Amino acid sequence: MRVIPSFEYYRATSLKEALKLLSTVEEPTVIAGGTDLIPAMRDGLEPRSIVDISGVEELKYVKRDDGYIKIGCLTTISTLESSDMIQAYAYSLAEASRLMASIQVRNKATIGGNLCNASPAADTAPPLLTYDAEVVLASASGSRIVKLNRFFEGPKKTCLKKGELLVEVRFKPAGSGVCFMKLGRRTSFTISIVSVAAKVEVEGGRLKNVRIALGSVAPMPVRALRLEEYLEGKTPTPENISRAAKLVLEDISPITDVRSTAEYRKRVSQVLVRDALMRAVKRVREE
Amino acid sequence: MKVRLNVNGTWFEVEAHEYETLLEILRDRLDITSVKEGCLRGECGVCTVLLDGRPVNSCLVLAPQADGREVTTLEGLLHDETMKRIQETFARNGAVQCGYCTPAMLLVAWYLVKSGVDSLEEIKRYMSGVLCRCTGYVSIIRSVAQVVDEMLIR
Repeated sequence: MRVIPSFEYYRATSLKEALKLLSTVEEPTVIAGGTDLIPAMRDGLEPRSIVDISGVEELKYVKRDDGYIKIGCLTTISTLESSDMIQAYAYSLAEASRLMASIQVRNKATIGGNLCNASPAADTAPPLLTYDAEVVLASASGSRIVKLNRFFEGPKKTCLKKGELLVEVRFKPAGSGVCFMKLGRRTSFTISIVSVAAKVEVEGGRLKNVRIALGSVAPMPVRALRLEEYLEGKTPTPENISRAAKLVLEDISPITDVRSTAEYRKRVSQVLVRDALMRAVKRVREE
Repeated sequence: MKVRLNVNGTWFEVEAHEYETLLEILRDRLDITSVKEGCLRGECGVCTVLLDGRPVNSCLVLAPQADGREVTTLEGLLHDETMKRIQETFARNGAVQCGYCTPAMLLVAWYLVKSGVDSLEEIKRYMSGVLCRCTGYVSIIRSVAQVVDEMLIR
């Protein structure tokens, strides 16, 4: 059996206690669902201390408040998948959650963990990027709000400072014109080769506030800004969208790894972007 | 450290290290051997248990995270009518080869039947978290679908 190395264990029962532990414990590593951390430890990662926040009930919520949809960091992927509020106001996040890992993993894995682990393939990131989501980072001395696109700094790297915890994800309710798609090596329980989230609004027959974000094609989940800019104000015809999809190459820098090659990722990104945009446009209900 | 947990309706208090997992508590301390050790990284699903009623990989639950929780394994459902029906259907369809994944397959099947899953696509999606290395998926999925059908008709 691949043994987990030993560590100092601290259990937080409230947010206040968690933040205090993070500021006092030496080299703390946070555990929530543990679905990324425990395999990493079996592979040789040796955290000195572990702060267990999994029992902090006040960080498990999905609510509408102050014009925002707010999601507590310990909300599980299963909850996102089944939440009526997420279905209604962040449908592509529900789609991404449904397609993520297995039911066993979704029941433990949390949205905070998915973002803080900062995998380029994190499935919750592309939809959230298209909602212009923000994350609330709290520490014992206060809190700050950071745009999600500034939160990721590279593979496994975020802007979290020592003693900080990502406590909440928030965004303005998204309309119906959203879509998440991913391509993996199989249909179920798969890590993406490429994932795409699209969000569009249509006003007077023209595209508005277009957002496209992709996973697994750059050191971190990224927006396709050039493509977004190009489509702004265009009519949502298949021709325009196909032409635009090629521009995704300007904002991605895929690599070859065990799941796929850089060349294939470049080709398939264009196809997925086109399909996700078409589907998002189809879903727009003119209100 | 001491870990207190309810397994199949009975409370136990066991001594465990922080770096051990629920899988080790169940197998090595409580002799619950339907829960298997497989990949140890949440990919194969043979260590599946129901934690507070929901399927999770017991290899990914640190011992202290199991404290105060309710765990259900196949041993706890042996007298359950739905589970009996699922087991009989697996046997009738030859849905067991080496048997290593079978307890986990049965648990997830039981959970999805109880959750009211009613489409083949959803059955496959739920079952995808347990791997059968004999690759006997066709008869496994057929069995679960048959039970779901019977429950719908009844």
